[in-house]
Amino acid sequence: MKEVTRMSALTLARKIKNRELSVEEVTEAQLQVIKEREPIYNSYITITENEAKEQAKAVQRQIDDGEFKNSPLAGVPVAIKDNICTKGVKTTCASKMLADFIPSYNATVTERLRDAGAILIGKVNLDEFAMGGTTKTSYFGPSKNPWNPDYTPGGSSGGSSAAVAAEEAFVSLGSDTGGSIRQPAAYCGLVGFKPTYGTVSRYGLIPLASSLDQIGPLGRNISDCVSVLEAISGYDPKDSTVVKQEKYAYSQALVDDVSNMRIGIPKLYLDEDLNEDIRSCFMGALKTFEDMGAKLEIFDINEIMYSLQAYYVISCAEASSNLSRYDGVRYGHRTADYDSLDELYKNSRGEGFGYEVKRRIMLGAYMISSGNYETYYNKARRIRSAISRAYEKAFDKYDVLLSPESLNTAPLLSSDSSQTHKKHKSEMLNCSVNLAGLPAVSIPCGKDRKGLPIGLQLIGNKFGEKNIIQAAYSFEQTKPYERPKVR
Amino acid sequence: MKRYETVIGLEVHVELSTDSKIFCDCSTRFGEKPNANTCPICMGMPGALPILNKKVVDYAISTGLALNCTIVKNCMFDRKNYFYPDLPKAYQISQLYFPIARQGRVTFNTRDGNKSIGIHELHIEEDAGKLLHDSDKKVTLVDYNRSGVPLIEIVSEPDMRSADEVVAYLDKLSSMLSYMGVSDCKMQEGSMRVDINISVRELGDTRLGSRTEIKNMNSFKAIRRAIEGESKRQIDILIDGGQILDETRRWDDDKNKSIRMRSKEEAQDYRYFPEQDIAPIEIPNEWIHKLHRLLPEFRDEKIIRFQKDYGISEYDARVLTSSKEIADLFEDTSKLYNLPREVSNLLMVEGMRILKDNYLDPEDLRLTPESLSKLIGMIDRGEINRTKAKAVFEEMCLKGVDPEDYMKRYGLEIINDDKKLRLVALKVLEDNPQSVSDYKKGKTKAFGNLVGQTMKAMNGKADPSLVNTILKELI
Amino acid sequence: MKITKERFNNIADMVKLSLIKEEETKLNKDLNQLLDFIETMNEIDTDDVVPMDYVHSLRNVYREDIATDLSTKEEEHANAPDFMDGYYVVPRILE
Ligand SMILES: [Mg+2]
Ligand SMILES: [Zn+2]
Repeated sequence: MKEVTRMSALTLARKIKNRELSVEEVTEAQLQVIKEREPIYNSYITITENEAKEQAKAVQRQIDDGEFKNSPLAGVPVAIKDNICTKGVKTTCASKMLADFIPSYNATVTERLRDAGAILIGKVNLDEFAMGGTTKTSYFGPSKNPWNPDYTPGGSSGGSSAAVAAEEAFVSLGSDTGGSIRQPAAYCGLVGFKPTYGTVSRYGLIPLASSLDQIGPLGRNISDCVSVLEAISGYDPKDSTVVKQEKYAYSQALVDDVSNMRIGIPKLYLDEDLNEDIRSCFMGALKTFEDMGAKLEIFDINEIMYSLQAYYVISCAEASSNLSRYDGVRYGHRTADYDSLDELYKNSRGEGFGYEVKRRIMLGAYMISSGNYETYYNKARRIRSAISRAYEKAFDKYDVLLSPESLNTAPLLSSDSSQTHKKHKSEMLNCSVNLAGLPAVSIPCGKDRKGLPIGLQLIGNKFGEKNIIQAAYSFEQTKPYERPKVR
Repeated sequence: MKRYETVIGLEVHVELSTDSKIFCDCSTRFGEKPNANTCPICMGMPGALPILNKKVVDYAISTGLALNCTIVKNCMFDRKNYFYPDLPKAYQISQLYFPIARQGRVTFNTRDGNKSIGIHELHIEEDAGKLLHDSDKKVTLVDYNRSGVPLIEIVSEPDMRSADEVVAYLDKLSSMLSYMGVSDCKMQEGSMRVDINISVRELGDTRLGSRTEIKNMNSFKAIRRAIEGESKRQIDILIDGGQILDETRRWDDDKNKSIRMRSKEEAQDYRYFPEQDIAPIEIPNEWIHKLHRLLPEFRDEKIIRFQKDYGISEYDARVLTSSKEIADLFEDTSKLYNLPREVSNLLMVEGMRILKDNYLDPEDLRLTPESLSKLIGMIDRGEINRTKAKAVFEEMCLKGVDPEDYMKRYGLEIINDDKKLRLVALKVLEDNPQSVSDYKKGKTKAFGNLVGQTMKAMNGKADPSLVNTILKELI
Repeated sequence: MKITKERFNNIADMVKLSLIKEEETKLNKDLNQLLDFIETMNEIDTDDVVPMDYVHSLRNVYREDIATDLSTKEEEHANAPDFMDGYYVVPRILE
């Protein structure tokens, strides 16, 4: 049965439609694989075994009744990052603070996946409140990289990447505030798609930074991701930051043709201290695009040099406010140790949050505290404008921008994850994309000498998803999906 | 001896009369079971997002226009961050950087002539929940029904100089807001709450002194006492050579004094920043023009016009315009049956008494201009006498009855049957020979007795003037 | 040190975080290091750039004023750490 869980989501859905497989047996097989592999990878926080089995039964019945004819996801087991609300199912944000929180409502994306007939198989791990790039800050322990369990699967959507790479789910949902879908996808050899800000409803996504967060899919190929993206995107009356677009027919862009596509490469990433393996992979990718007929050009975009600083200020300021509601009054962890209201607040939050969360709350509050608004917050918003404008200018000339997703491959879980100069560089391009609200996808483009996957980032103009889908699809034809040796 | 003046500015919070809350579809109904009008959005549950109620923006623009403000055409929301159990998200969605309206003015009459108060700004925000302090159990209970009810905050310039002016300003504000249907401004239900900024200075000084802020006043009586008490406290300090501290105080009406809550140094740092979950508001001119056209005629203008159009006294016009409902009822009825004095009398005397006796608000009256004009017509044509008319009017106010139906059903109509009246009158004269002879001797009082007897015999349904004529003829 | 001990305590109080001693020391050091890094953003001149208020140009997204609440109160209340007679409960607040 393990062959079943190796298929792509779309292949699986086709076989279900053709009655070669039943939704129940697929679900059963998926649960079996999860049970076997979870002790190694720890991708999941909650496995919704009973709900999934029941849903499988219901979906099979609906398929038998002729429903879901146009849904490419009917019967496909999917995993959802545990900062996305699922009605009646624990949604923890990998925090002690919400370890027992059961939402009375679904996120819009949860609802849409259900409507598409996808089977919600469980809630996957992340860094606490999506703050981090390794899952090491999770209250439930880190997830492991299926290519080598000594290494991180990345983060914050590390459970989402580990689950899909370890074949514990066919596709998953992640959230991306400063690279949190693309980086774990790159570390695990997957496709990770961060849509344009305002494409996917954030209703029910427990926010890190409201102006940067966006939900997107992780999958083993671009087509799987596109089918999830089509299912979850679009206008939602519950989120006033979702843009009404004409149509979201992203799958129309699954075309193997980049001839005459104008591709820009930010110079920044070529003259820097790129890891040798990554450099050669990246150069190889550029050559592939050139061979396929794309027009490549190197250009300067120095405005993004300060994107990480601006990102810190803006994301932490918003986060400090977004995370204030966890006060032990209406839901979430309440300390046992209090006599006064102030003690209730401080001890509940002190006990409920981990170090990284506290660090960002403190920094964020400082950024907008009395006297600092102009110095830090507005300065960062000015840089944000400059970055956004620089990208606009770039997209006058190019259809797609290319960069390495990360300046290194997955680090060891045991390594110190504190900030290094190199890591800053790596995060720079990732978070500049969020600051400008652009769509971007990370696709696998090779492996380093340790055998760890390397990601290639394709950035598109606002609502230019189709261009990056077409480029990614064309590239994928030259580099078929490679699976890690999981058992 | 130095002389001092008091300088007062107000921040007035008004709950808007929308059906649903500002960011979710929960009801705004008052007096529900605790935490019944709540949902993930107004409870600040993780991941829930606000969607702005359009009517709130309409109401805020209308109010801004009524207060002669400039409407800020690109306005947006900000977060005001602080922890308190009645504030579910630990931030209030409010407006700091770009409030919806600025720089207005409102003018009203006082005993000393016209007074004009500058409006600094008007902004939209959400209300918080309610706390109940349970002393027995040593706990505080939280009810979030009010959380997310829309508010506008009207911030005045420090242009008031006395409690009288403050009360007059608040009267003017609440009259305008209720005329527009924007708020019912019921202080006792907390739908209008006032923060008072107050300072004193030597007469003739143009600088502003250190001010104290007295929070959350919710009755006119307390506001008056607070202003008088606090201004005396400040003047006493100055006379003693002391200094006024910039601080927030609370008015204790029982002890008749203000109590310090926190100083400027302890003031909270609200860490305001733009709310990213709500799309900004862009107000095109057409929107403003449309709402401008829909502004009602306000009370002060109505008082003048009613005197002119209907020939009623200023006093009557004042009473009739105390609420828009009564003013409209008066005017619409008078249009249907042109006897404004009669309408005014009924509404002013009987109408006001009925409201008072039954603890009703004008909007609770079940009168319609159609039914009231029928009653006025009946009175005018002498088909019903005044006493009976009052009784019918009360039924109309409270139960919404139709005067014609009601009169027919209860036989209240006046009998103008000449023959029948003569028969009854003859019987009365026969039965009261003493009165007849007294009347003939010139005792007019005796005639009154005969009229009364006749009316009584007719169960009050006779037309008294006809009775008069017939009796005189027969005697 | 950009953030003095006093300022640090003041912020921790403002965001209602109790910190154990080791956390406090590490956090104070971390924050000052981060500030040094963040302040390098002043190297770029942005005087002629207007701060970005919103990511995209969406305006005027509204709902109509209709009360149709269908939420499930019991499930919401079930998450409360202390709930009594329909109320959320906190320690008595002295005014
Ligand atoms: Mg306010
Ligand atoms: Zn609500």
